[in-house]
Amino acid sequence: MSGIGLAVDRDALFAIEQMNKAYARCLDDDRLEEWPDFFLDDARYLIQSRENRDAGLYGYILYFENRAMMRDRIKSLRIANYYNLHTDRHLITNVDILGVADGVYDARANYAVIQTDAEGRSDLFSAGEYVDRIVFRNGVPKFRERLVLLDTSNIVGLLAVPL
Amino acid sequence: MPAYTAIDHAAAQSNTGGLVWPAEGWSRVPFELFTSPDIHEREDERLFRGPHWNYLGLEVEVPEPGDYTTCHVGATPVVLVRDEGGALRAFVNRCAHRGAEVVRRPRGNARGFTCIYHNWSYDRAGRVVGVPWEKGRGGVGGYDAAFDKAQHRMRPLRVASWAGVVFGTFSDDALPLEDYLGPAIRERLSAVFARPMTVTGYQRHTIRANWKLLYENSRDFYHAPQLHKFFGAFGIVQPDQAARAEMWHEGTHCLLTIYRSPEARKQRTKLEEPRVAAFRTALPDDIAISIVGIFPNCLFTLIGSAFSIRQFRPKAPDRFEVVYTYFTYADDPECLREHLFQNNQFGPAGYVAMEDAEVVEKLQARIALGAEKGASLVAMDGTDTTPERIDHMVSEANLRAMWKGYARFMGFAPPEPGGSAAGGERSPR
Repeated sequence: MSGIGLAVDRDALFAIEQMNKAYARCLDDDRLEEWPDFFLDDARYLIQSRENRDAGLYGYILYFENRAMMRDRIKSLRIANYYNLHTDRHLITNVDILGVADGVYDARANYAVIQTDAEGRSDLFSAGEYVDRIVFRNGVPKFRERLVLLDTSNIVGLLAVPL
Repeated sequence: MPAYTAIDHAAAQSNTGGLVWPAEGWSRVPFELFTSPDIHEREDERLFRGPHWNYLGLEVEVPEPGDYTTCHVGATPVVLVRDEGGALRAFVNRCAHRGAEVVRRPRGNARGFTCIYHNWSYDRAGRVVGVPWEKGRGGVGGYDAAFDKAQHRMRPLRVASWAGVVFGTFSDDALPLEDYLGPAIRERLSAVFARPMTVTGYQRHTIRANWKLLYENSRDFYHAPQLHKFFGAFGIVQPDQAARAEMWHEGTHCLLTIYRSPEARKQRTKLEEPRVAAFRTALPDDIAISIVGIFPNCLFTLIGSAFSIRQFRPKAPDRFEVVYTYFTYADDPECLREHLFQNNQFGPAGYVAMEDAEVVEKLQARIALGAEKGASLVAMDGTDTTPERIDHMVSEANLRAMWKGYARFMGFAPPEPGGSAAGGERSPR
Protein backbone atom coordinates (compact mmCIF):
# COMPACT_ATOMS: atom_id res chain seq x y z
CA MET A 1 0.00 0.00 0.00
CA SER A 2 2.80 2.37 0.87
CA GLY A 3 4.18 4.63 -1.78
CA ILE A 4 0.91 4.96 -3.58
CA GLY A 5 -0.28 8.53 -3.91
CA LEU A 6 -3.25 9.16 -1.67
CA ALA A 7 -5.35 10.46 -4.48
CA VAL A 8 -5.15 7.08 -6.17
CA ASP A 9 -4.99 4.80 -3.09
CA ARG A 10 -8.38 3.54 -4.07
CA ASP A 11 -7.87 0.04 -2.77
CA ALA A 12 -7.20 1.27 0.76
CA LEU A 13 -10.05 3.74 0.66
CA PHE A 14 -12.43 1.14 -0.67
CA ALA A 15 -11.37 -1.35 2.02
CA ILE A 16 -11.81 1.24 4.76
CA GLU A 17 -15.22 2.23 3.43
CA GLN A 18 -16.24 -1.42 3.40
CA MET A 19 -15.01 -1.79 6.97
CA ASN A 20 -17.11 1.17 8.08
CA LYS A 21 -20.18 -0.33 6.46
CA ALA A 22 -19.53 -3.66 8.16
CA TYR A 23 -18.90 -1.88 11.47
CA ALA A 24 -22.22 -0.05 11.22
CA ARG A 25 -24.09 -3.21 10.30
CA CYS A 26 -22.50 -5.14 13.15
CA LEU A 27 -23.69 -2.60 15.73
CA ASP A 28 -27.07 -1.97 14.12
CA ASP A 29 -27.74 -5.72 13.91
CA ASP A 30 -26.89 -6.09 17.61
CA ARG A 31 -24.03 -8.46 16.82
CA LEU A 32 -22.08 -6.75 19.57
CA GLU A 33 -19.86 -9.77 20.29
CA GLU A 34 -18.29 -9.28 16.84
CA TRP A 35 -17.56 -5.60 17.43
CA PRO A 36 -14.09 -6.09 19.04
CA ASP A 37 -13.00 -8.01 15.92
CA PHE A 38 -12.66 -4.73 14.04
CA PHE A 39 -9.78 -3.83 16.37
CA LEU A 40 -6.24 -5.04 17.01
CA ASP A 41 -5.59 -6.65 20.39
CA ASP A 42 -3.87 -3.54 21.74
CA ALA A 43 -6.14 -1.05 19.97
CA ARG A 44 -7.72 1.87 21.73
CA TYR A 45 -11.42 2.73 21.51
CA LEU A 46 -12.20 6.15 22.92
CA ILE A 47 -15.27 8.33 23.14
CA GLN A 48 -14.53 11.96 23.83
CA SER A 49 -16.46 15.17 23.42
CA ARG A 50 -15.18 17.83 21.09
CA GLU A 51 -15.50 20.22 24.04
CA ASN A 52 -12.91 18.26 26.02
CA ARG A 53 -10.64 17.62 23.05
CA ASP A 54 -10.57 21.32 22.15
CA ALA A 55 -9.78 22.21 25.78
CA GLY A 56 -6.89 19.76 25.84
CA LEU A 57 -8.65 17.61 28.43
CA TYR A 58 -9.08 13.86 28.53
CA GLY A 59 -12.69 13.62 29.63
CA TYR A 60 -13.29 10.28 27.94
CA ILE A 61 -16.81 8.95 28.24
CA LEU A 62 -15.35 5.54 27.52
CA TYR A 63 -11.65 4.74 27.61
CA PHE A 64 -10.66 1.30 26.34
CA GLU A 65 -7.04 0.57 25.57
CA ASN A 66 -7.24 -3.07 24.57
CA ARG A 67 -9.66 -5.54 23.08
CA ALA A 68 -10.19 -7.19 26.47
CA MET A 69 -11.89 -4.01 27.67
CA MET A 70 -14.16 -4.07 24.63
CA ARG A 71 -15.14 -7.67 25.35
CA ASP A 72 -15.80 -6.72 28.98
CA ARG A 73 -18.07 -3.95 27.78
CA ILE A 74 -20.15 -6.21 25.61
CA LYS A 75 -20.34 -8.89 28.28
CA SER A 76 -21.49 -6.32 30.82
CA LEU A 77 -24.17 -5.02 28.45
CA ARG A 78 -25.36 -8.60 27.98
CA ILE A 79 -25.34 -9.84 31.58
CA ALA A 80 -25.20 -6.88 33.95
CA ASN A 81 -26.50 -3.56 32.64
CA TYR A 82 -30.03 -2.34 32.15
CA TYR A 83 -30.34 0.27 29.46
CA ASN A 84 -32.92 1.71 27.10
CA LEU A 85 -34.51 -0.79 24.75
CA HIS A 86 -33.69 0.55 21.34
CA THR A 87 -32.26 -0.06 17.91
CA ASP A 88 -29.43 1.98 16.41
CA ARG A 89 -28.93 3.11 12.85
CA HIS A 90 -25.40 4.24 12.09
CA LEU A 91 -25.01 6.52 9.08
CA ILE A 92 -21.32 6.74 8.21
CA THR A 93 -20.20 9.02 5.43
CA ASN A 94 -17.37 11.26 4.17
CA VAL A 95 -14.94 8.38 4.66
CA ASP A 96 -11.49 9.67 3.78
CA ILE A 97 -7.80 9.01 4.21
CA LEU A 98 -5.83 12.06 5.25
CA GLY A 99 -2.43 10.47 5.31
CA VAL A 100 -0.42 7.32 5.73
CA ALA A 101 2.86 6.74 7.56
CA ASP A 102 4.60 3.42 8.23
CA GLY A 103 1.52 1.56 7.10
CA VAL A 104 -0.79 3.40 9.49
CA TYR A 105 -3.66 5.15 7.78
CA ASP A 106 -4.94 8.39 9.25
CA ALA A 107 -8.61 8.11 8.34
CA ARG A 108 -11.73 10.09 9.09
CA ALA A 109 -15.45 9.62 8.72
CA ASN A 110 -18.56 11.47 9.80
CA TYR A 111 -21.23 9.56 11.63
CA ALA A 112 -24.78 10.03 12.83
CA VAL A 113 -26.63 7.53 14.97
CA ILE A 114 -30.40 7.50 14.94
CA GLN A 115 -31.95 5.67 17.86
CA THR A 116 -35.41 4.18 17.73
CA ASP A 117 -37.12 3.23 20.96
CA ALA A 118 -39.27 0.22 21.72
CA GLU A 119 -42.37 2.09 20.54
CA GLY A 120 -40.91 3.12 17.21
CA ARG A 121 -39.96 6.71 17.93
CA SER A 122 -36.72 7.77 16.25
CA ASP A 123 -34.36 10.51 17.38
CA LEU A 124 -30.93 11.68 16.38
CA PHE A 125 -28.91 10.27 19.27
CA SER A 126 -25.39 11.31 18.35
CA ALA A 127 -23.45 13.09 15.64
CA GLY A 128 -19.73 13.42 15.30
CA GLU A 129 -16.56 12.25 13.69
CA TYR A 130 -14.52 9.08 13.70
CA VAL A 131 -10.81 9.79 13.98
CA ASP A 132 -9.16 6.53 13.04
CA ARG A 133 -5.71 4.96 12.94
CA ILE A 134 -6.00 1.92 10.68
CA VAL A 135 -3.53 -0.76 9.64
CA PHE A 136 -3.92 -3.67 7.25
CA ARG A 137 -3.44 -7.23 8.48
CA ASN A 138 -3.48 -9.85 5.73
CA GLY A 139 -5.16 -7.30 3.52
CA VAL A 140 -7.91 -6.61 6.07
CA PRO A 141 -8.14 -3.18 7.67
CA LYS A 142 -8.12 -3.15 11.49
CA PHE A 143 -8.38 -0.28 13.92
CA ARG A 144 -5.29 0.56 15.87
CA GLU A 145 -7.38 3.34 17.34
CA ARG A 146 -10.89 4.64 16.87
CA LEU A 147 -11.63 7.94 18.58
CA VAL A 148 -15.31 8.82 18.49
CA LEU A 149 -15.28 12.59 18.65
CA LEU A 150 -18.70 13.70 19.79
CA ASP A 151 -20.30 16.83 18.45
CA THR A 152 -23.25 15.73 20.57
CA SER A 153 -21.35 16.16 23.80
CA ASN A 154 -24.56 16.44 25.81
CA ILE A 155 -25.69 12.83 26.10
CA VAL A 156 -29.44 12.46 26.35
CA GLY A 157 -30.43 9.53 28.53
CA LEU A 158 -27.49 7.19 28.44
CA LEU A 159 -24.89 5.69 26.15
CA ALA A 160 -24.72 1.91 26.41
CA VAL A 161 -23.92 0.46 22.99
CA PRO A 162 -20.67 1.54 21.32
CA LEU A 163 -20.90 4.27 18.71
CA MET B 1 -54.67 5.66 46.44
CA PRO B 2 -55.08 7.76 49.58
CA ALA B 3 -52.18 10.03 48.92
CA TYR B 4 -53.70 13.48 48.96
CA THR B 5 -55.54 15.65 51.39
CA ALA B 6 -58.59 17.54 50.33
CA ILE B 7 -57.62 21.18 50.68
CA ASP B 8 -58.71 24.67 49.89
CA HIS B 9 -56.55 25.06 46.84
CA ALA B 10 -56.42 28.85 46.78
CA ALA B 11 -55.59 29.20 50.48
CA ALA B 12 -52.94 26.54 50.33
CA GLN B 13 -51.36 28.00 47.22
CA SER B 14 -50.42 31.14 49.09
CA ASN B 15 -48.39 29.46 51.80
CA THR B 16 -47.66 25.86 50.92
CA GLY B 17 -47.44 25.83 47.16
CA GLY B 18 -50.74 24.00 47.00
CA LEU B 19 -49.24 20.80 48.26
CA VAL B 20 -50.17 18.96 51.42
CA TRP B 21 -48.00 16.05 52.35
CA PRO B 22 -49.72 12.63 52.54
CA ALA B 23 -51.04 11.95 56.03
CA GLU B 24 -48.95 8.78 56.26
CA GLY B 25 -45.96 11.06 56.77
CA TRP B 26 -42.47 11.25 55.36
CA SER B 27 -42.57 7.62 54.27
CA ARG B 28 -44.69 8.82 51.35
CA VAL B 29 -43.44 11.22 48.70
CA PRO B 30 -46.16 12.65 46.47
CA PHE B 31 -45.45 12.23 42.77
CA GLU B 32 -46.66 15.79 42.25
CA LEU B 33 -43.26 16.94 43.53
CA PHE B 34 -41.74 15.59 40.34
CA THR B 35 -44.32 16.82 37.84
CA SER B 36 -45.71 20.18 38.96
CA PRO B 37 -44.61 23.33 37.11
CA ASP B 38 -45.58 25.36 40.18
CA ILE B 39 -43.28 23.35 42.40
CA HIS B 40 -40.51 23.59 39.82
CA GLU B 41 -40.72 27.39 39.92
CA ARG B 42 -40.98 27.42 43.67
CA GLU B 43 -37.79 25.35 43.93
CA ASP B 44 -35.93 27.90 41.86
CA GLU B 45 -37.07 30.66 44.19
CA ARG B 46 -36.81 28.88 47.53
CA LEU B 47 -33.95 26.45 47.02
CA PHE B 48 -31.62 27.61 44.28
CA ARG B 49 -32.15 31.33 44.87
CA GLY B 50 -32.92 30.83 48.54
CA PRO B 51 -30.74 30.59 51.67
CA HIS B 52 -28.64 27.71 50.40
CA TRP B 53 -25.15 27.43 48.96
CA ASN B 54 -24.82 26.18 45.38
CA TYR B 55 -21.71 24.60 43.92
CA LEU B 56 -20.15 26.88 41.30
CA GLY B 57 -16.82 25.27 40.48
CA LEU B 58 -13.42 24.24 41.76
CA GLU B 59 -10.70 26.73 42.59
CA VAL B 60 -8.28 24.84 40.32
CA GLU B 61 -10.50 25.75 37.37
CA VAL B 62 -9.80 29.44 37.91
CA PRO B 63 -6.23 29.65 39.24
CA GLU B 64 -5.17 32.93 37.61
CA PRO B 65 -6.68 36.44 37.57
CA GLY B 66 -9.22 36.62 34.76
CA ASP B 67 -9.84 32.87 34.64
CA TYR B 68 -13.54 32.19 34.49
CA THR B 69 -15.95 29.31 34.21
CA THR B 70 -19.69 29.32 33.66
CA CYS B 71 -22.32 27.34 35.50
CA HIS B 72 -25.94 27.45 36.57
CA VAL B 73 -27.58 28.08 39.90
CA GLY B 74 -30.94 26.48 39.32
CA ALA B 75 -32.24 28.12 36.17
CA THR B 76 -29.87 31.08 36.43
CA PRO B 77 -26.66 31.20 34.36
CA VAL B 78 -23.74 32.29 36.52
CA VAL B 79 -20.09 33.15 35.88
CA LEU B 80 -17.36 32.34 38.40
CA VAL B 81 -14.23 34.44 37.89
CA ARG B 82 -11.01 35.28 39.72
CA ASP B 83 -10.39 39.02 39.89
CA GLU B 84 -7.16 41.05 39.81
CA GLY B 85 -6.64 40.70 43.54
CA GLY B 86 -7.10 36.93 43.44
CA ALA B 87 -10.58 37.00 44.96
CA LEU B 88 -13.35 34.78 43.59
CA ARG B 89 -16.34 36.59 42.18
CA ALA B 90 -19.63 35.35 40.77
CA PHE B 91 -22.36 37.14 38.91
CA VAL B 92 -25.44 36.41 36.84
CA ASN B 93 -24.53 36.13 33.17
CA ARG B 94 -27.08 38.70 32.02
CA CYS B 95 -26.38 42.18 30.76
CA ALA B 96 -27.51 44.99 33.05
CA HIS B 97 -28.73 46.87 29.98
CA ARG B 98 -31.20 44.64 28.13
CA GLY B 99 -30.59 41.24 29.62
CA ALA B 100 -28.51 39.65 26.88
CA GLU B 101 -25.99 36.90 27.50
CA VAL B 102 -22.59 38.50 28.15
CA VAL B 103 -20.09 35.67 28.70
CA ARG B 104 -20.48 33.39 25.70
CA ARG B 105 -17.80 30.75 26.16
CA PRO B 106 -18.01 28.04 28.83
CA ARG B 107 -14.51 28.76 30.16
CA GLY B 108 -11.60 31.07 29.50
CA ASN B 109 -9.54 34.01 30.64
CA ALA B 110 -10.60 37.62 30.18
CA ARG B 111 -9.57 41.09 31.28
CA GLY B 112 -13.26 41.94 31.37
CA PHE B 113 -16.45 41.11 29.57
CA THR B 114 -18.40 42.88 26.84
CA CYS B 115 -21.98 42.32 25.79
CA ILE B 116 -22.22 41.91 22.02
CA TYR B 117 -25.59 43.67 21.78
CA HIS B 118 -24.68 47.30 22.61
CA ASN B 119 -21.11 46.78 23.76
CA TRP B 120 -21.66 47.51 27.40
CA SER B 121 -18.46 46.41 29.07
CA TYR B 122 -17.82 44.97 32.50
CA ASP B 123 -14.92 44.37 34.83
CA ARG B 124 -14.15 40.97 36.30
CA ALA B 125 -16.58 41.55 39.13
CA GLY B 126 -19.41 42.19 36.68
CA ARG B 127 -19.51 45.97 37.24
CA VAL B 128 -20.26 48.22 34.28
CA VAL B 129 -17.14 50.07 33.18
CA GLY B 130 -18.05 51.18 29.68
CA VAL B 131 -21.25 52.37 27.98
CA PRO B 132 -21.05 53.40 24.30
CA TRP B 133 -22.52 56.84 23.55
CA GLU B 134 -22.90 57.40 27.29
CA LYS B 135 -22.45 61.16 26.84
CA GLY B 136 -24.06 61.23 23.40
CA ARG B 137 -22.59 61.37 19.94
CA GLY B 138 -22.00 64.45 17.81
CA GLY B 139 -23.51 66.60 20.53
CA VAL B 140 -26.83 64.81 20.61
CA GLY B 141 -28.43 62.08 22.65
CA GLY B 142 -26.72 60.02 25.29
CA TYR B 143 -27.79 59.28 28.82
CA ASP B 144 -28.86 62.19 30.97
CA ALA B 145 -26.89 63.54 33.90
CA ALA B 146 -28.71 61.32 36.39
CA PHE B 147 -27.37 58.19 34.75
CA ASP B 148 -24.53 56.67 36.75
CA LYS B 149 -23.09 53.58 35.18
CA ALA B 150 -21.48 52.67 38.49
CA GLN B 151 -25.00 51.92 39.71
CA HIS B 152 -25.32 49.13 37.16
CA ARG B 153 -23.80 45.68 37.29
CA MET B 154 -24.56 42.07 36.58
CA ARG B 155 -26.11 40.73 39.75
CA PRO B 156 -23.43 39.38 42.11
CA LEU B 157 -23.63 36.27 44.25
CA ARG B 158 -21.93 35.80 47.59
CA VAL B 159 -19.02 33.43 47.12
CA ALA B 160 -17.25 31.19 49.61
CA SER B 161 -15.08 28.11 49.29
CA TRP B 162 -14.09 25.14 51.38
CA ALA B 163 -11.10 22.93 50.55
CA GLY B 164 -10.97 24.38 47.05
CA VAL B 165 -14.66 23.82 46.29
CA VAL B 166 -16.45 27.07 45.46
CA PHE B 167 -20.05 27.79 46.38
CA GLY B 168 -22.29 30.77 45.77
CA THR B 169 -25.60 32.03 47.08
CA PHE B 170 -28.07 34.75 46.15
CA SER B 171 -29.22 35.00 49.75
CA ASP B 172 -27.94 37.10 52.62
CA ASP B 173 -29.57 34.64 54.98
CA ALA B 174 -27.52 31.56 54.11
CA LEU B 175 -25.49 30.21 57.00
CA PRO B 176 -21.73 30.65 56.89
CA LEU B 177 -20.50 27.99 54.44
CA GLU B 178 -18.67 26.02 57.14
CA ASP B 179 -21.82 25.67 59.18
CA TYR B 180 -23.83 24.94 56.06
CA LEU B 181 -21.60 22.02 55.10
CA GLY B 182 -21.38 20.59 58.61
CA PRO B 183 -18.49 18.75 60.27
CA ALA B 184 -18.67 15.39 58.48
CA ILE B 185 -18.73 16.82 54.95
CA ARG B 186 -16.11 19.43 55.82
CA GLU B 187 -13.82 16.73 57.11
CA ARG B 188 -14.28 14.49 54.07
CA LEU B 189 -13.73 17.29 51.54
CA SER B 190 -10.65 18.44 53.45
CA ALA B 191 -9.22 14.93 53.43
CA VAL B 192 -9.86 14.38 49.73
CA PHE B 193 -8.68 17.82 48.65
CA ALA B 194 -5.57 17.76 50.84
CA ARG B 195 -3.44 17.28 47.71
CA PRO B 196 -3.46 19.36 44.51
CA MET B 197 -6.15 18.42 42.02
CA THR B 198 -6.29 18.59 38.26
CA VAL B 199 -9.48 18.71 36.22
CA THR B 200 -9.46 15.95 33.61
CA GLY B 201 -12.63 16.86 31.74
CA TYR B 202 -16.30 17.66 31.66
CA GLN B 203 -19.38 15.74 30.67
CA ARG B 204 -22.84 17.10 29.94
CA HIS B 205 -25.80 14.83 30.47
CA THR B 206 -29.48 15.48 29.88
CA ILE B 207 -31.95 13.33 31.78
CA ARG B 208 -35.65 13.48 30.98
CA ALA B 209 -36.81 13.33 34.56
CA ASN B 210 -37.14 15.49 37.62
CA TRP B 211 -33.79 16.42 39.14
CA LYS B 212 -34.79 15.26 42.62
CA LEU B 213 -35.15 11.67 41.44
CA LEU B 214 -31.42 11.48 40.78
CA TYR B 215 -30.52 13.49 43.86
CA GLU B 216 -32.54 11.02 45.93
CA ASN B 217 -31.09 8.07 44.02
CA SER B 218 -27.56 9.07 44.96
CA ARG B 219 -28.18 8.31 48.64
CA ASP B 220 -30.39 5.29 48.05
CA PHE B 221 -28.53 2.32 49.54
CA TYR B 222 -31.44 0.02 48.72
CA HIS B 223 -31.20 0.33 44.95
CA ALA B 224 -27.46 -0.03 44.53
CA PRO B 225 -27.03 -3.82 44.74
CA GLN B 226 -30.52 -4.42 43.30
CA LEU B 227 -30.23 -2.28 40.17
CA HIS B 228 -26.51 -2.08 39.46
CA LYS B 229 -25.47 -5.63 38.60
CA PHE B 230 -22.02 -4.79 37.28
CA PHE B 231 -20.19 -5.33 40.58
CA GLY B 232 -22.00 -8.54 41.34
CA ALA B 233 -21.78 -9.95 37.82
CA PHE B 234 -18.02 -9.50 37.75
CA GLY B 235 -17.42 -10.40 41.40
CA ILE B 236 -16.07 -7.01 42.37
CA VAL B 237 -17.42 -6.20 45.83
CA GLN B 238 -18.84 -7.92 48.86
CA PRO B 239 -22.50 -7.11 49.32
CA ASP B 240 -22.22 -6.98 53.12
CA GLN B 241 -19.59 -4.31 53.38
CA ALA B 242 -19.95 -1.70 56.10
CA ALA B 243 -21.62 1.55 55.19
CA ARG B 244 -22.74 4.73 56.86
CA ALA B 245 -24.91 7.72 56.00
CA GLU B 246 -24.52 11.04 57.79
CA MET B 247 -27.05 13.79 57.27
CA TRP B 248 -26.86 17.53 57.72
CA HIS B 249 -28.78 20.68 56.77
CA GLU B 250 -32.16 19.34 57.91
CA GLY B 251 -31.36 16.00 56.35
CA THR B 252 -30.88 17.35 52.84
CA HIS B 253 -27.10 16.86 52.69
CA CYS B 254 -25.86 13.30 52.86
CA LEU B 255 -22.36 11.94 53.25
CA LEU B 256 -22.56 8.32 52.23
CA THR B 257 -19.52 6.24 53.13
CA ILE B 258 -18.83 2.69 52.07
CA TYR B 259 -15.86 1.11 53.78
CA ARG B 260 -13.25 -1.04 52.18
CA SER B 261 -14.01 -4.68 52.79
CA PRO B 262 -11.03 -6.81 53.85
CA GLU B 263 -12.34 -9.58 51.59
CA ALA B 264 -12.45 -7.23 48.60
CA ARG B 265 -8.66 -7.10 48.49
CA LYS B 266 -8.48 -10.84 47.97
CA GLN B 267 -11.23 -11.01 45.39
CA ARG B 268 -10.48 -11.97 41.85
CA THR B 269 -12.62 -10.05 39.43
CA LYS B 270 -14.00 -11.77 36.37
CA LEU B 271 -13.22 -8.71 34.27
CA GLU B 272 -10.65 -9.36 31.58
CA GLU B 273 -9.26 -5.91 32.36
CA PRO B 274 -9.31 -5.60 36.15
CA ARG B 275 -7.93 -2.06 36.18
CA VAL B 276 -11.45 -0.79 35.46
CA ALA B 277 -12.45 -1.79 38.98
CA ALA B 278 -9.13 -1.80 40.84
CA PHE B 279 -9.55 0.98 43.32
CA ARG B 280 -6.20 1.62 44.92
CA THR B 281 -6.43 3.54 48.15
CA ALA B 282 -5.45 7.00 47.06
CA LEU B 283 -6.07 8.20 50.60
CA PRO B 284 -4.70 6.81 53.86
CA ASP B 285 -8.04 5.55 55.14
CA ASP B 286 -10.32 2.53 54.90
CA ILE B 287 -13.02 4.26 52.86
CA ALA B 288 -13.81 2.72 49.47
CA ILE B 289 -16.47 5.15 48.27
CA SER B 290 -17.73 8.54 49.43
CA ILE B 291 -20.80 10.03 47.86
CA VAL B 292 -21.43 13.53 49.08
CA GLY B 293 -24.73 15.21 48.31
CA ILE B 294 -24.64 18.90 49.12
CA PHE B 295 -28.12 20.31 48.76
CA PRO B 296 -29.44 21.60 46.51
CA ASN B 297 -27.23 21.39 43.44
CA CYS B 298 -24.25 19.10 43.73
CA LEU B 299 -23.06 15.60 44.24
CA PHE B 300 -19.50 14.36 44.70
CA THR B 301 -18.52 10.81 43.82
CA LEU B 302 -15.14 10.06 45.39
CA ILE B 303 -13.85 6.59 44.65
CA GLY B 304 -10.33 5.34 44.00
CA SER B 305 -8.71 7.91 41.73
CA ALA B 306 -11.89 8.69 39.80
CA PHE B 307 -13.33 11.78 41.38
CA SER B 308 -16.24 13.71 39.99
CA ILE B 309 -18.68 16.38 40.98
CA ARG B 310 -22.06 16.67 39.35
CA GLN B 311 -23.84 20.00 39.12
CA PHE B 312 -27.61 19.71 38.81
CA ARG B 313 -29.30 22.15 36.45
CA PRO B 314 -33.08 21.78 36.49
CA LYS B 315 -34.65 22.80 33.18
CA ALA B 316 -38.28 21.77 33.60
CA PRO B 317 -40.23 19.52 35.97
CA ASP B 318 -39.36 16.60 33.74
CA ARG B 319 -35.91 17.52 32.48
CA PHE B 320 -32.55 18.45 33.95
CA GLU B 321 -28.94 18.57 32.97
CA VAL B 322 -26.06 17.21 34.95
CA VAL B 323 -22.66 18.66 34.25
CA TYR B 324 -19.85 16.45 35.49
CA THR B 325 -16.45 17.82 36.34
CA TYR B 326 -13.91 15.00 36.50
CA PHE B 327 -10.76 15.46 38.52
CA THR B 328 -7.93 13.56 40.16
CA TYR B 329 -4.67 14.18 41.97
CA ALA B 330 -2.25 16.34 40.04
CA ASP B 331 0.84 15.16 41.90
CA ASP B 332 0.61 11.48 40.99
CA PRO B 333 0.72 10.38 37.31
CA GLU B 334 -0.49 6.94 38.37
CA CYS B 335 -3.72 8.52 39.61
CA LEU B 336 -4.41 9.85 36.14
CA ARG B 337 -3.85 6.41 34.58
CA GLU B 338 -6.17 4.81 37.10
CA HIS B 339 -8.69 7.58 36.65
CA LEU B 340 -8.98 6.88 32.91
CA PHE B 341 -9.71 3.21 33.56
CA GLN B 342 -11.99 3.67 36.56
CA ASN B 343 -14.02 6.42 34.98
CA ASN B 344 -15.58 3.84 32.65
CA GLN B 345 -17.82 3.07 35.60
CA PHE B 346 -19.31 6.55 35.84
CA GLY B 347 -21.07 9.13 33.73
CA PRO B 348 -23.81 8.58 31.14
CA ALA B 349 -22.03 5.49 29.74
CA GLY B 350 -20.80 4.17 33.07
CA TYR B 351 -21.02 0.54 34.10
CA VAL B 352 -22.57 1.44 37.45
CA ALA B 353 -24.34 4.61 36.38
CA MET B 354 -26.26 4.06 33.15
CA GLU B 355 -29.11 2.29 34.92
CA ASP B 356 -29.84 5.34 37.07
CA ALA B 357 -30.65 7.45 34.02
CA GLU B 358 -32.75 4.66 32.56
CA VAL B 359 -34.71 4.13 35.76
CA VAL B 360 -35.48 7.75 36.53
CA GLU B 361 -36.51 8.51 32.95
CA LYS B 362 -38.91 5.61 32.78
CA LEU B 363 -40.15 6.36 36.30
CA GLN B 364 -40.84 9.97 35.33
CA ALA B 365 -42.92 8.87 32.37
CA ARG B 366 -45.10 6.75 34.67
CA ILE B 367 -45.63 9.20 37.53
CA ALA B 368 -46.56 11.94 35.08
CA LEU B 369 -49.69 9.99 34.16
CA GLY B 370 -52.56 12.19 35.28
CA ALA B 371 -54.88 9.33 36.14
CA GLU B 372 -52.36 7.65 38.39
CA LYS B 373 -51.68 10.30 41.01
CA GLY B 374 -49.96 8.83 43.97
CA ALA B 375 -46.89 8.76 46.08
CA SER B 376 -43.72 6.78 46.31
CA LEU B 377 -43.20 4.49 49.28
CA VAL B 378 -40.12 5.12 51.38
CA ALA B 379 -40.72 2.93 54.42
CA MET B 380 -37.67 0.66 54.59
CA ASP B 381 -36.30 0.55 58.15
CA GLY B 382 -39.36 2.12 59.75
CA THR B 383 -40.75 5.59 59.43
CA ASP B 384 -38.14 7.48 61.42
CA THR B 385 -37.69 10.93 59.94
CA THR B 386 -34.87 12.56 61.82
CA PRO B 387 -31.82 10.34 61.86
CA GLU B 388 -28.51 12.16 61.81
CA ARG B 389 -26.70 8.96 61.04
CA ILE B 390 -27.41 5.42 59.83
CA ASP B 391 -24.83 2.67 60.16
CA HIS B 392 -26.11 0.09 57.72
CA MET B 393 -27.37 -0.13 54.13
CA VAL B 394 -30.77 -1.70 54.76
CA SER B 395 -32.58 1.58 55.21
CA GLU B 396 -34.42 4.40 53.51
CA ALA B 397 -34.30 6.61 56.59
CA ASN B 398 -31.83 8.97 54.92
CA LEU B 399 -34.33 9.50 52.11
CA ARG B 400 -37.11 10.33 54.55
CA ALA B 401 -34.81 12.78 56.29
CA MET B 402 -34.14 14.46 52.96
CA TRP B 403 -37.81 14.80 52.10
CA LYS B 404 -38.64 16.25 55.47
CA GLY B 405 -35.93 18.89 55.11
CA TYR B 406 -36.92 19.56 51.51
CA ALA B 407 -40.55 20.12 52.52
CA ARG B 408 -39.49 22.48 55.25
CA PHE B 409 -37.29 24.52 52.91
CA MET B 410 -40.11 24.59 50.37
CA GLY B 411 -42.57 25.83 52.97
CA PHE B 412 -44.88 22.83 52.66
CA ALA B 413 -47.03 22.07 55.68
CA PRO B 414 -45.87 18.91 57.48
CA PRO B 415 -48.11 15.86 57.30
CA GLU B 416 -50.84 15.61 59.91
CA PRO B 417 -51.11 12.01 61.06
CA GLY B 418 -54.69 10.89 61.50
CA GLY B 419 -55.93 14.18 60.13
CA SER B 420 -58.66 14.67 57.60
CA ALA B 421 -56.28 13.29 55.02
CA ALA B 422 -56.76 9.68 56.04
CA GLY B 423 -58.35 7.93 53.12
CA GLY B 424 -58.81 11.25 51.39
CA GLU B 425 -58.88 11.74 47.70
CA ARG B 426 -58.02 14.95 45.96
CA SER B 427 -61.19 16.99 46.08
CA PRO B 428 -62.95 17.91 42.88
CA ARG B 429 -62.61 21.60 42.21
